[in-house]
Amino acid sequence: MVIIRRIAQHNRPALRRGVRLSADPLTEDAVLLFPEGILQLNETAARVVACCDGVQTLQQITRTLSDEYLDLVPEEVAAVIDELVREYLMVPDG
Amino acid sequence: MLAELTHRCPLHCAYCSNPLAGVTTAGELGTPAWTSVFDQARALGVMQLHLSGGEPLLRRDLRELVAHGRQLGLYVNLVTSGVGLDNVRAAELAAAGLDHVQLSVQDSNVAAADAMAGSRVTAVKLRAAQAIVGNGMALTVNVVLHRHNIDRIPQLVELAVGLGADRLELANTQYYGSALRNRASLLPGRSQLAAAEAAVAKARASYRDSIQIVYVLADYYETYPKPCMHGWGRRHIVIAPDGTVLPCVAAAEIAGLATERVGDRSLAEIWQHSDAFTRFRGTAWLPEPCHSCARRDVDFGGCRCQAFLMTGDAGRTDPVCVLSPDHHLVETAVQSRNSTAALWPRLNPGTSRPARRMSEPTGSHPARKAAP
Repeated sequence: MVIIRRIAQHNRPALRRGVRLSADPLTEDAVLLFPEGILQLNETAARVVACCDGVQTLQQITRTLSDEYLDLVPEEVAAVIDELVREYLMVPDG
Repeated sequence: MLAELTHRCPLHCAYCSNPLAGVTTAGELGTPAWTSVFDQARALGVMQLHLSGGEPLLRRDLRELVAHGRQLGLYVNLVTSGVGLDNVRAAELAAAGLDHVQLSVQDSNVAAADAMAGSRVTAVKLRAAQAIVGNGMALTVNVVLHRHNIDRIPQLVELAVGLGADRLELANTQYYGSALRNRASLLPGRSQLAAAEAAVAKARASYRDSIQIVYVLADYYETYPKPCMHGWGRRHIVIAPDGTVLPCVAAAEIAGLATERVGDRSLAEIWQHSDAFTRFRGTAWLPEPCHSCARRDVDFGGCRCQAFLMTGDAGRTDPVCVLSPDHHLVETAVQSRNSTAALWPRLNPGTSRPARRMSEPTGSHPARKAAP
């Protein structure tokens, strides 16, 4: 049985230890660097990750991003974080 | 990019995959040569720098090399035995910007671990892990699996969790270098592998959030070969201790491959145009049965070094593949498994002293005793 955890509004997500947000030196695309891997982030994911500092709650992050980007769908914020938690790149509470 | 800073190592693991004829101290690149390689790699688009060996802690300029890589924006990873990694050294490397450390662990059984390493390493590993985690760096514990330790996966997982690891990599032995020489003794049985996979699945379920467990398959028992290096000359560059630029660590053993060194011409030119990188790049060169195979773009014909080491021709299909005309070589190797075969320790480059079998003179090799 696979339990799919969902990040909650009060969680304070952060990158896992050893995972770093960086940029591809050639394309300047946002990437996550981690042991033995590189993940290229799309624009939404890059925005979300940049806000996940282990201090702000999901609720605060969603509000900040919604104010800043009119095209942002709030559900997408949680979806990005859930996916990165599943991939061992983020922790729900940093 | 993998920078093999030295081939020297204080340990003598019989499963070591480094080339048997390593580079001696005198042949190693100096600090300016290494930093120049890092600069060129970054300009080429490289994002990760793995500092490996041998034992990279034996390089006095390690802190400087870490700092240089990190300043360039590279993700810097240290692959180490932990010998020589005390709190002072770890703090220094953390301050220099080291992102992550991969610490090798030979076994959960103290006597077996020490016998494999050829030295009392268990306390050293514990101290190194504490120093890594204590200085805020991410830790992966790496265990090379073989016949003599693969039955202890639950204990290995417990050990890694106890050491505070973020990740545990359980990788079946890859048969190059010393490991190939010791293959008969190291190859696990099929039932051992099945039990190991079940143990990994169980551990993943119980430790789900606290540790990521990566399991690397035993390719001799697979139907199809591994997509070695994600394809020759596609993503990876290895720099040997003497500056030889290679598509993978084991490629130094392929006879007739015209390799070049950093300084011969730019890293970009070597990457794009050298024989070493172009000979097996892409899929056009592939022999049958690979050329017309649907899996051509999945596994790229497998591993060139394995093809060379087993058949003498790096251009043949990886014998691991059931479709390979040389697959009988893998079947024979599997059938020739022998838990009482000698384990020969890895030797340091330039060491000409005849190798003492790890199991002699008393035959009391603890790893052997623990074997099923």
